[in-house]
Amino acid sequence: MMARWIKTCAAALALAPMLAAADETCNSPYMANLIKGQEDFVHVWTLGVAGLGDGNDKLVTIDANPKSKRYGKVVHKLSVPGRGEAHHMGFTDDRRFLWAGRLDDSKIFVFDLSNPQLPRLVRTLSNFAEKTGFVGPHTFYAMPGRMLVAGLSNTRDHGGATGMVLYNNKGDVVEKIPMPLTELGGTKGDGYGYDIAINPSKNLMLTSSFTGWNNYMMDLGKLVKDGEAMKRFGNTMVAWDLKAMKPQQVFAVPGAPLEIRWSLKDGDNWAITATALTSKLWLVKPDAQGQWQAKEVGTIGDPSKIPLPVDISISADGKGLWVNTFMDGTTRYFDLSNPEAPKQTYALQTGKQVNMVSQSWDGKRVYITSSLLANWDKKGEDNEQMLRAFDWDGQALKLAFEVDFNKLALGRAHHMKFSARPAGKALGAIAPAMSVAAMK
Amino acid sequence: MTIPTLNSGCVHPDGPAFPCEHPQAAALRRPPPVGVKETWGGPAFPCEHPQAAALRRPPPVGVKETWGGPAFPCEVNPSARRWRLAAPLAALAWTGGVRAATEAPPPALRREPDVSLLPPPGSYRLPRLFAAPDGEVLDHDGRRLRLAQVLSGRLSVVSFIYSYCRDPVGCPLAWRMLDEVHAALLADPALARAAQLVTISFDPTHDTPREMRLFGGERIGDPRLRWWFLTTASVPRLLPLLEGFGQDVSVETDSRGRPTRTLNHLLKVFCVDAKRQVREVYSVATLAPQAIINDLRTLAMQAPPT
Repeated sequence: MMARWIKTCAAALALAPMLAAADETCNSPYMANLIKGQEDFVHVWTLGVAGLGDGNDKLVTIDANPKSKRYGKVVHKLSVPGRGEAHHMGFTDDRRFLWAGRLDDSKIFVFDLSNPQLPRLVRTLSNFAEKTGFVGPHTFYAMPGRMLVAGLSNTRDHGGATGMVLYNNKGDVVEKIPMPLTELGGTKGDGYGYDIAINPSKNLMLTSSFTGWNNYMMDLGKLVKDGEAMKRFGNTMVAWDLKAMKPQQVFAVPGAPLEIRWSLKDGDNWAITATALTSKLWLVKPDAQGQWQAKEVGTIGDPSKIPLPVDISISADGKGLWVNTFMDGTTRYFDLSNPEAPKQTYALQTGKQVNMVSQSWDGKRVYITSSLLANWDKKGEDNEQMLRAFDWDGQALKLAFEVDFNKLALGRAHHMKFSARPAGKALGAIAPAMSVAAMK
Repeated sequence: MTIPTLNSGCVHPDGPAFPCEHPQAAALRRPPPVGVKETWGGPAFPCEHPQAAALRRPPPVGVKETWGGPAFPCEVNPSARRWRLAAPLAALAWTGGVRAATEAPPPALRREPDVSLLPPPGSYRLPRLFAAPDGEVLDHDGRRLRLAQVLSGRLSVVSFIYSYCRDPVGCPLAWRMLDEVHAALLADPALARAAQLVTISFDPTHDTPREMRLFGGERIGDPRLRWWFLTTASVPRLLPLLEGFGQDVSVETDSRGRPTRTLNHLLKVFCVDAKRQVREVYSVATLAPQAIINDLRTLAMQAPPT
């Protein structure tokens, strides 16, 4: 059975994915200024490709406002030195700065988005691995005055044991928090990490688990033939006491649980995730006794065909979930009216390979991109690299525009974040240098 | 959407330094596709910026090209560049009605934190997030003080407000919470002796010392618990404090780009220890009087103020 499972996983990974926490409904609950109307720009953290354009990783900015003359066009690109497996991004709590990480060299780039159509690189953090022993800064989760960063691996053996790093917003390491390896609540922690999702009202943080540098940097064809390597994927989620930053309970969630999304609907008290290798939806919610539990609640596609669910995006009302399955290039919509029994109600092949999916706060627009990891993306003609924007009327996705990242020599399109033109001006730019009138 | 101005760090990026010209300079000199601005986020250069030549050529029609790369070692505070005199905030304050300041978070984010789920005081550790900034402030009598002087030796709950803010999830929420913290501290005289509340105005052009005295009312001078109501002599004196605390604020503009009287800011309340280290930052999602009291008790147990 295990051999079969491994074989299945191997086949799945034959194209396996890595997801991303991307869209407006999936931002940290501590973040200000959610864009509830029309986003003006979509920023895409893009992996450089040798021989394509300048070959460097870059932040690509695309005009996404239909009222703009440059709608659907690349309006800015900001290259950073080299290729380091550009992956995910996250805004600071005030939404001014965008942190973007690389999984190979563990560098973190901080972009200033004061002028969102002209991002500026203001800081490069190169001490993630050196200061913490962790490798692969993955999820960037804003907390008040600080940024919590989840790693994927470690410097010791480049395996999956890892942890989280707390930075202040100036970029100083405050502390590191290892993922649990002990038994908590009857399940042993595997030490793996991936995503972070916080429910502040319940003082609860959830984390998920993926795999280490040895696997995510390995050529996929080689990886799937390596039975031992295929065993080294995360099979747990962890519930944490957020205030104390202490793990409280480990849940067995086999098959690499990736993105975690809390329902944002007022009164809801549950989160959902998808497992990449086993193609399942899992619900995390309290049982009748108030004890948090994780349970499988749905299947994504036909697991025997290895659809490989990658990114998910929950609607603002908690009633719908977009799921991208990488292998078949399909974007699926699940009705979450009953989160205990999600039902797929719509599907469309949106690309030859699809990874990230991000929706606007009003749910009317859905964006997808194509790349998982440099060594895991499909090859040849199937290596489509793009961003596609769709309009969603509740019935069907309608293509609004697309950007061909290969044709424009940009690279591999990965994580997306939205931005809007600022509605105000900096205090320092407006207020006078006058003294207080009452100052005598 | 609020995009505040803070000073950006000026850090030399990684990667090799090039003595004179960046290796990509030639590539970057080719014209970018129409409508696309190309920038380089690579290392800074000791002799000449690699794009300097490229930037000297006229940009394609309709394309605005600017440097979007890392901060240069010599770059000054960007807000200073933008500094210009405009209508005083105080004047703005009287030109029209007040409306909500911060953009309301989604309903779920306004959920009251369930404080019964917080760990008991003393059972957890609060990380040292960053050092509280120093700078000149004015008390309610107009006396000049250093903020470091105010914060040293006591546990402080610091917040920024402006007296005419009416955003329900902005200053009024903070004010209500601080009032409850005030009441809880009065019920715990030992903790009240070790702690203090510090309220600083976002708008020194309106919130003069006199205004802050009126705002503080009878809380000022209460011998049981110190509550400072501070302002600054000018906006330039305020900005370093805002930046140091990481407190964003911007002035909302109307459809013609003119400033309104609304200050957009993300609600933050800071718990600062006796050595002026910020140990917790509360937001709309986590602000609860009991949470603040728990943290003050934790700090008092683990490192009693001297």
